[in-house]
Amino acid sequence: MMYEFDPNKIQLLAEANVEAMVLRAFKRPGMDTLRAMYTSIRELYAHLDAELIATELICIAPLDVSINHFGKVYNNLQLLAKDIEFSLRSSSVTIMFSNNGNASWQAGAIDMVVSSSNAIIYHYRNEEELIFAKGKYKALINPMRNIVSMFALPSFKKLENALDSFKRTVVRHSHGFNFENVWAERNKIHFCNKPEAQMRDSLYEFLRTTFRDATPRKEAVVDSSHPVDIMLTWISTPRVALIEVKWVGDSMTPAGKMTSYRDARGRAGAKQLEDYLDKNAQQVPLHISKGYLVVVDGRRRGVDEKTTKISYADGMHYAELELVYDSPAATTRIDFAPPIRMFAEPICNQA
Amino acid sequence: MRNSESYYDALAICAHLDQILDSVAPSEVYIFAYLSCLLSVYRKQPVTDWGYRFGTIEDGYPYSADLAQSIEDLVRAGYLQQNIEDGYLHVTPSGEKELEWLQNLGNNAKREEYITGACYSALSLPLGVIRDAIDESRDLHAARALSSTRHIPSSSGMQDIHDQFDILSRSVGVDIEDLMIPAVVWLQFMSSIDKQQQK
Repeated sequence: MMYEFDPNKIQLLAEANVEAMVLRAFKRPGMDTLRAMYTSIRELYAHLDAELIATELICIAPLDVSINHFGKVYNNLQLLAKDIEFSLRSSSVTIMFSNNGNASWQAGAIDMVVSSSNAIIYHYRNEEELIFAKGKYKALINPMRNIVSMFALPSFKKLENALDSFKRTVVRHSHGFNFENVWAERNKIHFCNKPEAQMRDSLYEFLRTTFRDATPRKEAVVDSSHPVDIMLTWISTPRVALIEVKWVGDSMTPAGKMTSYRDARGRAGAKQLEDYLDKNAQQVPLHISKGYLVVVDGRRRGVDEKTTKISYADGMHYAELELVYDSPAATTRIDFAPPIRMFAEPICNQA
Repeated sequence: MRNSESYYDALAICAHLDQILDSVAPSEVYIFAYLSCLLSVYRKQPVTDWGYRFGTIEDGYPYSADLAQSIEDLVRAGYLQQNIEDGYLHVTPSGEKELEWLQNLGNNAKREEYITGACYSALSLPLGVIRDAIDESRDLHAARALSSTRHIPSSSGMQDIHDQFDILSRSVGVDIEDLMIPAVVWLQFMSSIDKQQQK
């Protein structure tokens, strides 16, 4: 057998299943309400950063046909998300959903055990999600590592959008998909020794879980000796993306020796990717290939091996400074996407 | 000759997923059709009664030539609209009417139960998790490892599925009213195998 499976695991997952709890509590109308609520929560998180929730978010979906909304009724969850953002930073917020997609909200919590007598309730606090039904509750199982809610995980059809999201949501604050492992210290001044593998693995995991209709492979060989960091092969169309990941900044060995990479590293990556594209075109001539150079930027001004704290001015000095490429491929070749620099912010000390 | 089961499944799966995911890739139609087929096995239906067969592509993803042909037919008939740039599918208003009509025919009402059970799992689990969970089956693992195509489920793959479904049905029941529940539990289980193997 290729793998052993644990029969107890299936049983435990079945016992923990929230949908089964809802079905037992409210039969089919409960499942319909739960599904409508899942859809609304997903839409809400598309416009709301779950990490901004300082206390708790409660969503209640009554099974009654007639619902007494809290006040202003929204038929657009983007507007509701905008209106609750400030309150969520300091207090509990309760949202009421009706099956037709309308919603309302109030500041403050509700008694979830009592209120779930004829309603389904979703509760989020500290990266834990619960579903209440008829006074009982179970935790939602989140099979994803490193994301606060599986309802908050986006999905992408365009690689450019996925990379942009990775840049903004993962790299910028080194949050999620194990990206925090690329640093040598808490203040994010020096990268760890040889951080490229962690960077590649983080991007690979992100694409594997969020990108639709394509399969990523790590260190895919484009000819007999050259592996590109990530090769993304579309399933439904003959398209391939070659992604090369480089970093600029300063890395530290465990012995305290610092290695610094600047613009030349980006240029070397561009040249390397250009070679991969040429070789790949020979390997799979019927596929449309495109190269993507991802440069993780951890440059800090005026640091040495001993730096442990950094000011805002020095830490953010390179935040908006693009790298200079002399390779024509990076700017003119149509199968070479514009290089994507992803600046990773340090934790700065007040001056 | 047109395969009526795959024709219905392709349209019904696109209609359900269109609402959840906002357009559907053909590869996603194959994945959810395969999951629907497995849910019919959960209900103790022989896999040979499904109406069409599945195979794998070299990368280890489910594929069905009948579904591919049906998608092509549905696009040609104007019931599905395919984006030229990325190949994603949308159900057109005439496709919705066609589906409404087809739902009342033959065994399609019965198939609807399997299809909704499979598609609703996308409300509860991220698409990447569902895709990885399906990929973790013995058959798709083998196809990927050997870069080969094969029919699925194979007899050994079927044995795994029967073993897993036997345990699952003892907990939630074969006759459970809503097939979204065994679908979600099974996908979570397969996804956990994936995580264990990565460690």
